[in-house]
Amino acid sequence: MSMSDEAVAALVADIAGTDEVLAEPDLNLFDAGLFDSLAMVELLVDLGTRLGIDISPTEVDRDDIDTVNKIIAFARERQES
Amino acid sequence: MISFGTMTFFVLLAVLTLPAIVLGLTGRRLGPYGAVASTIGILALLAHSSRQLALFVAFVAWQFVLMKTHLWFIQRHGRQVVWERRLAALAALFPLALVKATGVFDANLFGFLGVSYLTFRAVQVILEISDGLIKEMPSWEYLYFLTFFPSVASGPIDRSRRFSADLATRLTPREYAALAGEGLRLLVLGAAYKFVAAAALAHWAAGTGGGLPGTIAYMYLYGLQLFFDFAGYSWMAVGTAYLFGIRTPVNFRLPFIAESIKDFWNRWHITLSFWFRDYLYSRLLMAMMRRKVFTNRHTAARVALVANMTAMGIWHGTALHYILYGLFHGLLLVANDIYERSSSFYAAHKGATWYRIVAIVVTFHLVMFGFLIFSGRLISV
Repeated sequence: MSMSDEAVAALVADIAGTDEVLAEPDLNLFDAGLFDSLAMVELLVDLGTRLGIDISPTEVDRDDIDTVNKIIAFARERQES
Repeated sequence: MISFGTMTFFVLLAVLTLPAIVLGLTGRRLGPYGAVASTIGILALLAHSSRQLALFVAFVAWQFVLMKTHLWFIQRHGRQVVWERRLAALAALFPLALVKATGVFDANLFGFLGVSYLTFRAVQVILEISDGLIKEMPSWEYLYFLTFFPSVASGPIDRSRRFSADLATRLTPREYAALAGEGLRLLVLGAAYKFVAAAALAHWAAGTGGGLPGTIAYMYLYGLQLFFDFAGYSWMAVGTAYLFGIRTPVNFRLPFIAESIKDFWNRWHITLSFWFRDYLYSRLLMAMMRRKVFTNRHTAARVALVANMTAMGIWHGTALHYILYGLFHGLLLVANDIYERSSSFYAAHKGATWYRIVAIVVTFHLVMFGFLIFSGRLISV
Protein backbone atom coordinates (compact mmCIF):
# COMPACT_ATOMS: atom_id res chain seq x y z
CA MET A 1 0.00 0.00 0.00
CA SER A 2 1.23 3.48 -0.71
CA MET A 3 0.17 7.09 -0.60
CA SER A 4 1.07 9.98 -2.86
CA ASP A 5 2.40 13.20 -1.30
CA GLU A 6 -0.91 14.85 -2.24
CA ALA A 7 -2.88 12.15 -0.44
CA VAL A 8 -0.77 12.62 2.71
CA ALA A 9 -1.25 16.40 2.57
CA ALA A 10 -5.00 15.93 2.07
CA LEU A 11 -5.11 13.67 5.12
CA VAL A 12 -3.34 16.32 7.24
CA ALA A 13 -5.74 19.01 5.99
CA ASP A 14 -8.67 16.75 6.86
CA ILE A 15 -7.39 16.18 10.42
CA ALA A 16 -6.48 19.83 10.93
CA GLY A 17 -9.92 20.76 9.66
CA THR A 18 -8.65 23.39 7.22
CA ASP A 19 -7.18 23.49 3.71
CA GLU A 20 -5.01 26.45 4.75
CA VAL A 21 -2.25 24.02 5.69
CA LEU A 22 -1.87 23.05 2.01
CA ALA A 23 -0.84 26.60 1.15
CA GLU A 24 1.65 26.74 4.03
CA PRO A 25 3.38 23.35 4.11
CA ASP A 26 6.01 24.56 6.59
CA LEU A 27 3.55 25.95 9.13
CA ASN A 28 4.02 24.42 12.59
CA LEU A 29 0.70 22.65 13.14
CA PHE A 30 1.00 22.43 16.93
CA ASP A 31 2.02 26.08 17.38
CA ALA A 32 -0.83 27.17 15.11
CA GLY A 33 -3.29 25.30 17.33
CA LEU A 34 -4.35 23.06 14.43
CA PHE A 35 -2.87 19.87 15.89
CA ASP A 36 -3.16 18.44 19.40
CA SER A 37 -2.79 15.01 21.05
CA LEU A 38 -5.97 13.75 19.37
CA ALA A 39 -4.83 14.96 15.94
CA MET A 40 -1.48 13.25 16.45
CA VAL A 41 -3.19 9.95 17.25
CA GLU A 42 -5.56 10.36 14.29
CA LEU A 43 -2.60 10.96 12.00
CA LEU A 44 -0.75 7.86 13.19
CA VAL A 45 -3.85 5.65 13.00
CA ASP A 46 -4.96 6.90 9.55
CA LEU A 47 -1.47 6.89 8.08
CA GLY A 48 -0.87 3.42 9.53
CA THR A 49 -4.15 2.07 8.14
CA ARG A 50 -3.56 3.50 4.66
CA LEU A 51 0.04 2.30 4.52
CA GLY A 52 -0.69 -1.04 6.17
CA ILE A 53 1.79 -0.51 9.01
CA ASP A 54 1.66 0.00 12.78
CA ILE A 55 3.08 3.29 14.03
CA SER A 56 3.40 3.64 17.80
CA PRO A 57 2.95 7.02 19.54
CA THR A 58 6.56 7.22 20.71
CA GLU A 59 8.04 6.05 17.42
CA VAL A 60 8.19 9.60 16.14
CA ASP A 61 8.84 12.84 18.02
CA ARG A 62 6.36 15.66 17.64
CA ASP A 63 9.19 17.86 16.38
CA ASP A 64 9.65 15.47 13.46
CA ILE A 65 6.05 15.63 12.24
CA ASP A 66 4.88 19.14 13.10
CA THR A 67 4.51 20.46 9.53
CA VAL A 68 2.86 19.14 6.35
CA ASN A 69 6.24 18.80 4.67
CA LYS A 70 7.71 16.85 7.58
CA ILE A 71 4.70 14.53 7.64
CA ILE A 72 5.08 13.91 3.89
CA ALA A 73 8.77 13.10 4.40
CA PHE A 74 7.89 10.78 7.30
CA ALA A 75 5.27 8.95 5.18
CA ARG A 76 7.75 8.55 2.32
CA GLU A 77 10.37 7.15 4.64
CA ARG A 78 7.93 4.64 6.12
CA GLN A 79 6.77 3.48 2.68
CA GLU A 80 10.33 2.75 1.65
CA SER A 81 11.27 0.78 4.73
CA MET B 1 18.69 10.65 54.75
CA ILE B 2 16.10 12.19 52.43
CA SER B 3 16.69 12.84 48.74
CA PHE B 4 17.38 16.60 48.41
CA GLY B 5 15.97 17.03 51.91
CA THR B 6 18.62 16.69 54.58
CA MET B 7 22.10 18.09 55.14
CA THR B 8 23.75 14.65 55.05
CA PHE B 9 22.28 14.14 51.58
CA PHE B 10 23.87 17.34 50.30
CA VAL B 11 27.23 16.42 51.82
CA LEU B 12 27.03 13.04 50.07
CA LEU B 13 25.95 14.78 46.86
CA ALA B 14 28.99 17.07 46.99
CA VAL B 15 31.32 14.10 47.55
CA LEU B 16 29.76 12.08 44.70
CA THR B 17 29.63 14.92 42.17
CA LEU B 18 33.18 16.19 42.67
CA PRO B 19 34.82 13.33 40.68
CA ALA B 20 32.14 13.74 37.98
CA ILE B 21 33.04 17.42 37.63
CA VAL B 22 36.75 16.56 37.34
CA LEU B 23 36.01 13.88 34.69
CA GLY B 24 33.71 16.23 32.80
CA LEU B 25 36.10 19.16 32.79
CA THR B 26 38.89 16.95 31.49
CA GLY B 27 36.69 15.63 28.66
CA ARG B 28 36.42 12.04 29.89
CA ARG B 29 33.41 9.74 29.78
CA LEU B 30 31.00 10.24 32.67
CA GLY B 31 28.80 7.13 32.28
CA PRO B 32 30.75 4.43 34.12
CA TYR B 33 31.61 6.66 37.09
CA GLY B 34 28.04 7.98 37.12
CA ALA B 35 26.68 4.44 37.42
CA VAL B 36 28.96 3.73 40.39
CA ALA B 37 28.13 7.05 42.09
CA SER B 38 24.43 6.48 41.49
CA THR B 39 24.59 3.06 43.14
CA ILE B 40 26.37 4.50 46.18
CA GLY B 41 23.78 7.28 46.37
CA ILE B 42 20.88 4.83 46.33
CA LEU B 43 22.42 2.56 48.93
CA ALA B 44 22.87 5.61 51.18
CA LEU B 45 19.27 6.69 50.64
CA LEU B 46 17.97 3.22 51.55
CA ALA B 47 20.51 2.36 54.25
CA HIS B 48 18.18 3.31 57.10
CA SER B 49 15.83 0.41 56.36
CA SER B 50 16.95 -3.08 55.46
CA ARG B 51 13.38 -3.90 54.43
CA GLN B 52 13.25 -1.01 51.95
CA LEU B 53 16.65 -1.99 50.61
CA ALA B 54 15.52 -5.61 50.13
CA LEU B 55 12.31 -4.51 48.39
CA PHE B 56 14.27 -2.15 46.15
CA VAL B 57 16.73 -4.87 45.12
CA ALA B 58 13.87 -7.34 44.54
CA PHE B 59 12.05 -4.77 42.39
CA VAL B 60 15.10 -4.00 40.25
CA ALA B 61 15.89 -7.73 39.85
CA TRP B 62 12.26 -8.42 38.80
CA GLN B 63 12.26 -5.65 36.20
CA PHE B 64 15.71 -6.58 34.93
CA VAL B 65 14.85 -10.25 34.36
CA LEU B 66 11.53 -9.24 32.81
CA MET B 67 13.20 -6.76 30.43
CA LYS B 68 15.82 -9.29 29.29
CA THR B 69 13.23 -12.05 28.82
CA HIS B 70 10.88 -9.75 26.89
CA LEU B 71 13.70 -8.52 24.66
CA TRP B 72 14.76 -12.11 23.95
CA PHE B 73 11.17 -13.14 23.17
CA ILE B 74 10.52 -10.24 20.80
CA GLN B 75 13.78 -10.86 18.96
CA ARG B 76 13.05 -14.56 18.61
CA HIS B 77 9.31 -14.57 17.95
CA GLY B 78 8.68 -11.06 16.60
CA ARG B 79 6.15 -8.47 17.71
CA GLN B 80 3.01 -10.30 16.64
CA VAL B 81 2.42 -12.36 19.79
CA VAL B 82 -0.18 -10.20 21.49
CA TRP B 83 -0.50 -12.18 24.72
CA GLU B 84 3.23 -11.98 25.38
CA ARG B 85 3.26 -8.19 24.96
CA ARG B 86 0.32 -7.81 27.33
CA LEU B 87 1.83 -10.21 29.85
CA ALA B 88 5.13 -8.30 29.84
CA ALA B 89 3.37 -4.95 30.44
CA LEU B 90 1.27 -6.42 33.26
CA ALA B 91 4.33 -8.02 34.83
CA ALA B 92 6.11 -4.63 34.81
CA LEU B 93 3.11 -3.05 36.53
CA PHE B 94 2.67 -5.91 39.01
CA PRO B 95 5.02 -4.67 41.78
CA LEU B 96 3.39 -1.22 41.82
CA ALA B 97 -0.09 -2.79 41.81
CA LEU B 98 0.97 -4.90 44.79
CA VAL B 99 2.22 -1.81 46.64
CA LYS B 100 -0.97 0.15 45.88
CA ALA B 101 -3.28 -2.78 46.75
CA THR B 102 -1.58 -3.56 50.04
CA GLY B 103 -1.28 0.16 50.75
CA VAL B 104 -5.04 0.23 51.29
CA PHE B 105 -4.45 -1.84 54.42
CA ASP B 106 -0.95 -0.88 55.47
CA ALA B 107 0.78 2.08 53.87
CA ASN B 108 4.26 0.71 54.36
CA LEU B 109 3.94 -3.03 53.85
CA PHE B 110 5.51 -3.23 50.36
CA GLY B 111 6.22 0.42 49.65
CA PHE B 112 9.71 1.71 49.17
CA LEU B 113 11.39 4.90 48.03
CA GLY B 114 10.65 5.72 44.42
CA VAL B 115 8.61 2.63 43.49
CA SER B 116 5.99 4.72 41.66
CA TYR B 117 8.59 6.57 39.61
CA LEU B 118 10.75 3.52 38.89
CA THR B 119 7.68 1.76 37.51
CA PHE B 120 7.21 4.43 34.83
CA ARG B 121 10.70 3.89 33.53
CA ALA B 122 10.40 0.10 33.63
CA VAL B 123 7.06 0.15 31.76
CA GLN B 124 8.39 2.58 29.15
CA VAL B 125 11.24 0.20 28.30
CA ILE B 126 8.89 -2.82 28.09
CA LEU B 127 6.41 -1.01 25.81
CA GLU B 128 9.13 0.32 23.52
CA ILE B 129 10.65 -3.15 23.24
CA SER B 130 7.15 -4.31 22.20
CA ASP B 131 7.02 -1.52 19.61
CA GLY B 132 10.40 -2.53 18.20
CA LEU B 133 11.87 0.84 19.15
CA ILE B 134 14.37 -0.67 21.60
CA LYS B 135 16.36 -3.44 19.98
CA GLU B 136 19.20 -3.75 22.46
CA MET B 137 19.62 -2.77 26.09
CA PRO B 138 23.04 -3.18 27.70
CA SER B 139 22.61 -4.38 31.28
CA TRP B 140 24.53 -1.59 32.99
CA GLU B 141 22.77 1.08 30.93
CA TYR B 142 19.38 -0.33 31.89
CA LEU B 143 20.25 -0.49 35.59
CA TYR B 144 21.77 3.00 35.55
CA PHE B 145 18.72 4.43 33.76
CA LEU B 146 16.20 2.66 35.98
CA THR B 147 17.83 3.66 39.27
CA PHE B 148 19.47 7.01 38.31
CA PHE B 149 19.74 8.39 41.82
CA PRO B 150 19.07 12.16 41.37
CA SER B 151 15.58 11.33 40.09
CA VAL B 152 14.99 8.04 41.89
CA ALA B 153 12.72 9.42 44.62
CA SER B 154 10.26 11.61 42.71
CA GLY B 155 11.36 12.02 39.09
CA PRO B 156 11.57 13.75 36.65
CA ILE B 157 10.69 10.68 34.56
CA ASP B 158 13.30 10.34 31.85
CA ARG B 159 13.06 8.14 28.72
CA SER B 160 15.55 5.33 28.13
CA ARG B 161 16.44 6.06 24.50
CA ARG B 162 17.12 9.71 25.38
CA PHE B 163 19.17 8.62 28.43
CA SER B 164 21.21 6.13 26.36
CA ALA B 165 21.92 8.83 23.77
CA ASP B 166 23.39 11.02 26.54
CA LEU B 167 25.59 8.13 27.68
CA ALA B 168 26.84 7.67 24.13
CA THR B 169 27.79 11.36 23.82
CA ARG B 170 31.20 12.41 25.07
CA LEU B 171 31.04 16.09 25.94
CA THR B 172 33.99 18.38 25.27
CA PRO B 173 35.30 20.16 28.41
CA ARG B 174 33.68 23.37 27.16
CA GLU B 175 30.28 21.69 26.60
CA TYR B 176 30.47 20.03 29.99
CA ALA B 177 31.39 23.30 31.73
CA ALA B 178 28.31 24.98 30.24
CA LEU B 179 26.05 22.08 31.23
CA ALA B 180 27.51 21.86 34.75
CA GLY B 181 27.22 25.63 35.19
CA GLU B 182 23.53 25.42 34.32
CA GLY B 183 23.24 22.44 36.68
CA LEU B 184 24.68 24.41 39.59
CA ARG B 185 22.36 27.32 38.84
CA LEU B 186 19.37 24.95 38.92
CA LEU B 187 20.57 23.44 42.20
CA VAL B 188 20.65 26.89 43.82
CA LEU B 189 17.31 27.88 42.27
CA GLY B 190 15.70 24.61 43.40
CA ALA B 191 17.06 25.00 46.92
CA ALA B 192 15.59 28.53 47.13
CA TYR B 193 12.22 27.25 45.90
CA LYS B 194 12.13 24.35 48.32
CA PHE B 195 13.86 25.57 51.46
CA VAL B 196 12.81 29.23 51.40
CA ALA B 197 9.53 29.63 49.49
CA ALA B 198 7.93 26.23 50.11
CA ALA B 199 9.03 26.16 53.75
CA ALA B 200 7.47 29.59 54.43
CA LEU B 201 4.26 28.68 52.60
CA ALA B 202 3.98 25.39 54.51
CA HIS B 203 4.34 27.30 57.76
CA TRP B 204 1.58 29.73 56.79
CA ALA B 205 -0.67 26.95 55.43
CA ALA B 206 -0.42 25.10 58.74
CA GLY B 207 -1.51 28.26 60.55
CA THR B 208 -4.77 28.75 58.64
CA GLY B 209 -8.00 28.56 60.63
CA GLY B 210 -11.18 26.60 60.02
CA GLY B 211 -14.37 27.56 58.23
CA LEU B 212 -14.69 28.83 54.68
CA PRO B 213 -12.16 31.73 54.93
CA GLY B 214 -9.58 29.39 56.48
CA THR B 215 -10.14 26.77 53.79
CA ILE B 216 -9.80 29.35 51.00
CA ALA B 217 -6.56 30.70 52.48
CA TYR B 218 -5.31 27.14 52.88
CA MET B 219 -6.17 26.37 49.25
CA TYR B 220 -3.88 29.08 47.87
CA LEU B 221 -1.08 28.54 50.38
CA TYR B 222 -1.12 24.76 49.97
CA GLY B 223 -1.28 24.98 46.16
CA LEU B 224 1.66 27.37 46.01
CA GLN B 225 3.60 25.31 48.56
CA LEU B 226 3.04 22.21 46.45
CA PHE B 227 4.48 24.01 43.43
CA PHE B 228 7.55 25.46 45.14
CA ASP B 229 8.29 22.22 46.98
CA PHE B 230 7.98 19.95 43.96
CA ALA B 231 9.40 22.33 41.37
CA GLY B 232 12.29 23.03 43.76
CA TYR B 233 13.00 19.33 44.18
CA SER B 234 12.73 18.82 40.42
CA TRP B 235 15.17 21.64 39.61
CA MET B 236 17.66 20.18 42.06
CA ALA B 237 17.26 16.71 40.53
CA VAL B 238 17.72 18.10 37.00
CA GLY B 239 20.70 20.22 38.12
CA THR B 240 22.40 17.18 39.67
CA ALA B 241 21.73 15.11 36.55
CA TYR B 242 23.47 17.80 34.45
CA LEU B 243 26.57 17.46 36.64
CA PHE B 244 26.62 13.79 35.63
CA GLY B 245 26.22 14.72 31.96
CA ILE B 246 22.60 13.56 31.80
CA ARG B 247 20.08 16.04 30.37
CA THR B 248 17.09 14.88 32.41
CA PRO B 249 13.99 16.64 31.04
CA VAL B 250 12.49 19.50 33.05
CA ASN B 251 9.28 19.05 35.00
CA PHE B 252 7.82 22.59 35.17
CA ARG B 253 7.45 25.45 32.74
CA LEU B 254 5.71 28.40 34.47
CA PRO B 255 2.47 26.45 35.17
CA PHE B 256 0.62 29.43 36.64
CA ILE B 257 0.61 31.36 33.37
CA ALA B 258 -1.28 28.51 31.67
CA GLU B 259 -4.16 29.80 29.57
CA SER B 260 -6.23 26.63 29.79
CA ILE B 261 -6.26 23.33 31.68
CA LYS B 262 -4.84 21.65 28.59
CA ASP B 263 -2.03 24.22 28.57
CA PHE B 264 -1.54 23.64 32.33
CA TRP B 265 -0.75 19.95 31.77
CA ASN B 266 1.93 20.95 29.26
CA ARG B 267 3.56 22.99 32.05
CA TRP B 268 2.91 21.14 35.34
CA HIS B 269 4.70 17.90 36.23
CA ILE B 270 5.49 17.66 32.52
CA THR B 271 7.35 14.36 32.52
CA LEU B 272 4.43 12.68 34.31
CA SER B 273 1.70 14.10 32.10
CA PHE B 274 3.70 13.39 28.92
CA TRP B 275 4.31 9.83 30.11
CA PHE B 276 0.59 9.31 30.59
CA ARG B 277 -0.10 10.99 27.24
CA ASP B 278 2.34 8.76 25.34
CA TYR B 279 1.89 5.44 27.09
CA LEU B 280 -1.76 5.48 28.19
CA TYR B 281 -3.92 8.15 26.49
CA SER B 282 -2.52 7.78 22.96
CA ARG B 283 -2.44 4.00 23.07
CA LEU B 284 -5.93 3.69 24.52
CA LEU B 285 -7.26 6.12 21.93
CA MET B 286 -5.48 4.30 19.09
CA ALA B 287 -6.93 0.98 20.23
CA MET B 288 -10.44 2.47 20.42
CA MET B 289 -10.10 4.08 16.97
CA ARG B 290 -8.82 0.91 15.30
CA ARG B 291 -11.70 -1.09 16.76
CA LYS B 292 -14.13 1.76 16.04
CA VAL B 293 -15.52 1.62 19.58
CA PHE B 294 -17.04 5.09 19.12
CA THR B 295 -18.29 6.44 15.81
CA ASN B 296 -17.22 9.94 16.82
CA ARG B 297 -13.50 10.39 17.38
CA HIS B 298 -14.03 13.33 19.72
CA THR B 299 -16.11 11.08 21.98
CA ALA B 300 -13.32 8.49 21.97
CA ALA B 301 -10.75 11.18 22.81
CA ARG B 302 -12.85 12.43 25.73
CA VAL B 303 -13.35 8.95 27.15
CA ALA B 304 -9.58 8.43 26.87
CA LEU B 305 -8.94 11.77 28.62
CA VAL B 306 -11.09 10.89 31.64
CA ALA B 307 -9.61 7.39 31.86
CA ASN B 308 -6.10 8.83 31.56
CA MET B 309 -6.51 11.45 34.28
CA THR B 310 -8.33 9.08 36.64
CA ALA B 311 -5.46 6.59 36.25
CA MET B 312 -3.07 9.43 37.08
CA GLY B 313 -5.10 10.17 40.20
CA ILE B 314 -4.99 6.53 41.30
CA TRP B 315 -1.25 6.48 40.65
CA HIS B 316 -0.88 9.25 43.27
CA GLY B 317 -2.63 7.03 45.77
CA THR B 318 -5.74 4.90 46.23
CA ALA B 319 -7.30 7.34 48.72
CA LEU B 320 -10.59 8.86 47.55
CA HIS B 321 -9.25 12.42 47.30
CA TYR B 322 -6.54 11.37 44.83
CA ILE B 323 -9.07 9.59 42.61
CA LEU B 324 -11.39 12.62 42.76
CA TYR B 325 -8.44 14.87 41.86
CA GLY B 326 -7.79 12.80 38.73
CA LEU B 327 -11.47 12.72 37.81
CA PHE B 328 -11.73 16.49 38.36
CA HIS B 329 -8.92 17.17 35.90
CA GLY B 330 -10.25 14.59 33.43
CA LEU B 331 -13.65 16.31 33.35
CA LEU B 332 -12.03 19.76 33.14
CA LEU B 333 -10.01 18.62 30.13
CA VAL B 334 -13.18 17.34 28.47
CA ALA B 335 -14.93 20.67 29.15
CA ASN B 336 -11.84 22.45 27.84
CA ASP B 337 -11.92 20.36 24.66
CA ILE B 338 -15.65 20.89 24.01
CA TYR B 339 -15.32 24.63 24.68
CA GLU B 340 -12.33 25.15 22.36
CA ARG B 341 -13.90 23.11 19.55
CA SER B 342 -17.42 24.51 19.61
CA SER B 343 -17.50 27.97 21.23
CA SER B 344 -17.81 30.86 18.79
CA PHE B 345 -16.95 33.16 21.71
CA TYR B 346 -13.62 31.38 22.11
CA ALA B 347 -12.94 31.46 18.36
CA ALA B 348 -13.65 35.20 18.22
CA HIS B 349 -11.65 36.31 21.27
CA LYS B 350 -8.88 33.74 21.92
CA GLY B 351 -6.13 36.04 20.62
CA ALA B 352 -7.17 39.13 22.59
CA THR B 353 -4.99 40.23 25.51
CA TRP B 354 -7.94 40.72 27.87
CA TYR B 355 -9.22 37.24 27.02
CA ARG B 356 -5.84 35.66 27.69
CA ILE B 357 -5.54 37.41 31.07
CA VAL B 358 -9.03 36.27 32.09
CA ALA B 359 -8.17 32.74 30.90
CA ILE B 360 -5.00 32.69 33.02
CA VAL B 361 -6.92 33.85 36.12
CA VAL B 362 -9.73 31.31 35.61
CA THR B 363 -7.26 28.47 34.95
CA PHE B 364 -5.25 29.40 38.04
CA HIS B 365 -8.31 29.18 40.27
CA LEU B 366 -9.48 25.87 38.81
CA VAL B 367 -5.99 24.49 39.35
CA MET B 368 -5.90 25.75 42.95
CA PHE B 369 -9.27 24.14 43.63
CA GLY B 370 -7.85 20.91 42.22
CA PHE B 371 -4.98 21.11 44.72
CA LEU B 372 -7.50 21.60 47.52
CA ILE B 373 -9.13 18.32 46.48
CA PHE B 374 -5.67 16.76 46.26
CA SER B 375 -4.80 17.92 49.79
CA GLY B 376 -7.58 15.75 51.23
CA ARG B 377 -8.83 18.62 53.39
CA LEU B 378 -12.28 18.56 51.79
CA ILE B 379 -12.76 14.90 52.62
CA SER B 380 -11.56 14.71 56.20
CA VAL B 381 -12.71 11.43 57.66
